[in-house]
Amino acid sequence: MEAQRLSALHWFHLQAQARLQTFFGWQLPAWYTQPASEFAEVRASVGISDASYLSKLDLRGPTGDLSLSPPARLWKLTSAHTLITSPLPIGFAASSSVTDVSSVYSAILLAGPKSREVLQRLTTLSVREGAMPEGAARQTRLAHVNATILRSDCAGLPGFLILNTRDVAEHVWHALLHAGVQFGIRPFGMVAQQQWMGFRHDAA
Amino acid sequence: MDQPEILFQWNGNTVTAKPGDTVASAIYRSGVRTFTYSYQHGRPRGLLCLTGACPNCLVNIDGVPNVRSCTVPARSGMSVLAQNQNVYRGFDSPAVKRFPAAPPLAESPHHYEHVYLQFDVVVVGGGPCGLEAALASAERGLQVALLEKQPALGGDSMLVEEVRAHPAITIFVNCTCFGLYEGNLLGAVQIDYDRPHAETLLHLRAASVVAATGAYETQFLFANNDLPGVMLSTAVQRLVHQHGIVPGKRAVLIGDAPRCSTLQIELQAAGIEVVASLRVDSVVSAVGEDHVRGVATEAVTYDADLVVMCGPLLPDLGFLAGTSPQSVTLVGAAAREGFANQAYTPPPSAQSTDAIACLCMDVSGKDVAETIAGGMGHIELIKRFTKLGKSACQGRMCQTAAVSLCSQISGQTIAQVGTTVARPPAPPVTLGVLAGMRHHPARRTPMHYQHDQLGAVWMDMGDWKRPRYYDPAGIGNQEHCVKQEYRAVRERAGIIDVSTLGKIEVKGSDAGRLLDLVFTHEFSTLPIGRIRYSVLCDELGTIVDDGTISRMDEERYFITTTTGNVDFVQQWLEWWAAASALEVTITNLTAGLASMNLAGPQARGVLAQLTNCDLYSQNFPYMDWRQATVAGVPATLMRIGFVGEMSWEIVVAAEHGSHLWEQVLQAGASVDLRAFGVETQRVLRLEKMHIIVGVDTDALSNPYEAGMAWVAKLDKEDFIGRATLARMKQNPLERKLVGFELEGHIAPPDGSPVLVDGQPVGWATSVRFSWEKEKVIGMAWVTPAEAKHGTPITLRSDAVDYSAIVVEEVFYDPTGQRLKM
Amino acid sequence: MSFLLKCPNCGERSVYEFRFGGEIRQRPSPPAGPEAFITYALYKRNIAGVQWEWWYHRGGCGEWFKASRNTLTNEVQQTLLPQDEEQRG
Repeated sequence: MEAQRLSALHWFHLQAQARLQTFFGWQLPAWYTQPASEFAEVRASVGISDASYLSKLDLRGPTGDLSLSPPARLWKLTSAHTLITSPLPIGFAASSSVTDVSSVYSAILLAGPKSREVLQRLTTLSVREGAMPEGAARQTRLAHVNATILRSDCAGLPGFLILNTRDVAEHVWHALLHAGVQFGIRPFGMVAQQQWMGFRHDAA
Repeated sequence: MDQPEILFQWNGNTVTAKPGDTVASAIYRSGVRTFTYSYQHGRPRGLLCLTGACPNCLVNIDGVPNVRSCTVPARSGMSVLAQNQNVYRGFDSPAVKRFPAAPPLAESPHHYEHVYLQFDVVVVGGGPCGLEAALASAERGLQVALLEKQPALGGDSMLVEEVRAHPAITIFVNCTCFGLYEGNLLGAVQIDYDRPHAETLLHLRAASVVAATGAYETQFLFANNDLPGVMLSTAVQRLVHQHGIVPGKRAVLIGDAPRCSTLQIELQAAGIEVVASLRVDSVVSAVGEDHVRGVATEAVTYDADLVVMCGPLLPDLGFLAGTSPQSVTLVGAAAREGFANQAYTPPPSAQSTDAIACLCMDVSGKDVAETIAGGMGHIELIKRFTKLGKSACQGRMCQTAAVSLCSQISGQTIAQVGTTVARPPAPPVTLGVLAGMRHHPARRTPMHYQHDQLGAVWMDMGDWKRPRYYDPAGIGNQEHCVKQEYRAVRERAGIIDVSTLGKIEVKGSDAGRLLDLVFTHEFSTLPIGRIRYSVLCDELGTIVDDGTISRMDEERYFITTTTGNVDFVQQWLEWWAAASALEVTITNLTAGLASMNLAGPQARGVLAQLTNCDLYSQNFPYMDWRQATVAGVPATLMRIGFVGEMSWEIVVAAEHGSHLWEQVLQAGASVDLRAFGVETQRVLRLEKMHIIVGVDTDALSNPYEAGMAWVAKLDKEDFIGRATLARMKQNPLERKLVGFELEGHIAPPDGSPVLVDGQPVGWATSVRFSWEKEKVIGMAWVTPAEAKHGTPITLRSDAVDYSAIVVEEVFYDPTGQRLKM
Repeated sequence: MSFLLKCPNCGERSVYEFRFGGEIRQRPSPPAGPEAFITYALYKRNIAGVQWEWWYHRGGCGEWFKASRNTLTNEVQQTLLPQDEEQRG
């Protein structure tokens, strides 16, 4: 039997009695309460979802002619530092300028109309209107730890993929829940998350 | 109209408030006139300013002390207590102060938050001038924040509607600005009265700041000016117009004629008889015991139950304390008023004992006069000697009195007297709101919860949580548990989670060159497949960190560092790469890899169940690495260890860590393999005299004195620290790190001083009981004179002396055979 | 202390995202003796005024850069990546 890939938030999902299934080779919550209502709740206010399964590739130097097809996405961190994310394995061989950092980073999707207000309680990075448009990437501090924030909207609603080193994932998850308490923040599972991200991969 | 009643408790009595009442106005409305007693002399104090500027209305609300009750809307269910109640009311005795204890932090119902926002313009003050300034900026397309300390914006209602409707203006009410800091960072506290005990600290970055905070009124200085019933004109106006309360029947007004006559009309319209309007320099004293009953001049005493001061108006710019004036635009009364046009001539009675200049500290005009007479005429000296201005109101109420009096006595102009230096925060803020969310970022390994299930007793190593040892049966005996783990490792097999150690990948055409530069050994010539232990030094030859370096490929290396040091090492490598323009990519992989060290004479047998990799020494010697599939997942096996037994470090992707740990425990069940923690590892490695950087070395240790001369490869052309190490090699050592052992079972603590003939010669760095030697063993810094095998030394702890002898040979397996089996 | 520092990669950020790396000095090259290295390690000019210094964006891009800052006012005049040295004003 193939070994289960577990996210750093696995034990939170267990405690929350989420419905766990295999997505992209990882044990992840399909939903916490109801698959049907979770997406609507996120669209109404704000929620967080575990996206640690994403492949992440770190590229140094000029990217040159990169032909990326969805669902892979390219994020420009600096003029010589690029990040590629995808739910599927990314087909680039490791080299002196390409590093697979999929395991290094957890990813949390913070999504919904109130997501900006939640971020404003955890980071000095400006996320005000116009400061960080869809597709933008920022490296900064969030809840006292380093974070890479990727703006990932859905149907005009703001969303942010928050990448942290895996060792502080639980801390960031709880900080987000705390910062969003007045907005009714709740975790949402993979069914709703895939609707947000715009790709589908049926659970095993 | 039926409005819900607001009922709260004041000192155990029920008070009924009307909608719109503050806590102070509701208490006043119920007939209370004495709100507190002064801090020093126990003088009765009543409402004075009604705007949060003076200390007279400070109360304890629901356990929170020193709340300005005149700024807090009354809410049902509040429990309000007066402060400074048990005071000895004599002039020469200090007041006996009693403060109710604050609840312990963990039980505190308070919710504190921080919010970080950025605006083009921040306007402080939501009165008419502030509204206009906000609109003007918003119309120019700028993003504006408007801060107002009251629950609502003030002024013309059409203007207020326009501001509310404008999309570019964000309004914050119940929001008090307390400081403007470097880089145009404004600090403000917002209280949400709908969520009890919720305070938010706003960090506002502003491209420009407008202060439209208006002016606030201060008191006059004359005898008994602090009696309840002596109030500021703006306070009386608030009581009458905002709260519909008439504060008296017969009033004496004090101030200059134009202001008094305007006020007189207002008061008479409210049904208050004005019996006299006086200039302040003609006032001898207010008269009364617990409440004012009149005002005395030279000629006559007027009967009155209300005395209204049309006092000096000062710009409300407390939050700008310590800022340069050019960076802020002042508008309205905040720009207009100031000391220069508000100073007055104090009457002679201002220099009496009963003329209170500083309400917070009970500093009288007489105190100030005597201080000046004593040669301390500088305003800063007056403040320090008398404590004037050093308490709750932060000098807001007392500055005009002090400055005017000082000018009058010394003959200096107001400008020459100046004011004391003020600093933010002003007004005061709670420590809780500055702290914000109580969140400490704990770092956890992928196997964290499995350690929990195994009964881990946790310890902190920096931000990391690590098992100190395991106590599955919950017996609570550390020594017993550690011994079990120790025996497992020495006799059978043990497994320890070492994921917390730093892991850095260094690759690129200059990778070898970089490592040759920062480590004491040469790495560009290390064969692929080999691992080498080395040390990082600084330019002074001091050991900064140690670790293993593995050659993974032609241009790729894998470094391990001590737990907690990876950030430093990464920054160090990045700096050298940047400063020397090296072609290299440095990646911190620490969190992405789960590593565990399987150690013990049976380790090979356990590991062989999980992998097809040939583990025998002729094919997999000590200090080699191999890629292999272990328990069905891709892994790197590194034949290294720290405990002196045959061991492999198994490194897998973090998402597989849990699975691998589980598989190792299962595979090891047949030999009774045990998970072992940091404490056990400390004992095991101490028996091998393996140093821990930062425990056995300090900020000055160099390799020669640490007994590690072999790390310094001076034949290398250049590495950091080489020149100084070369010099050190020629000089005699000043101290040496040696091993020692002592009889008995009790281990003095790490850090115990080492004495010879009663004189300190060093200290013990690590001390533990060794089951191998059945003695206490350790390592210590001593002077070279003691560094010979058999030299007697003494450790001292808690006034007890422990006799030990220096030991040169490693305590366990001196020839190092066991780890190469 | 709450000034903003303009990282050449990330733009203006709170100073707390950065680690100060000291004034920029020239490292002696071998065969310079230990005295040169000790002087380099321990002695600093400690300028009261504008100095060029190293900063590390530890809470951001993770790169080292140079900045010219007035140590009396914390006013930062210029920041640049080491490879852009020729743009130094």
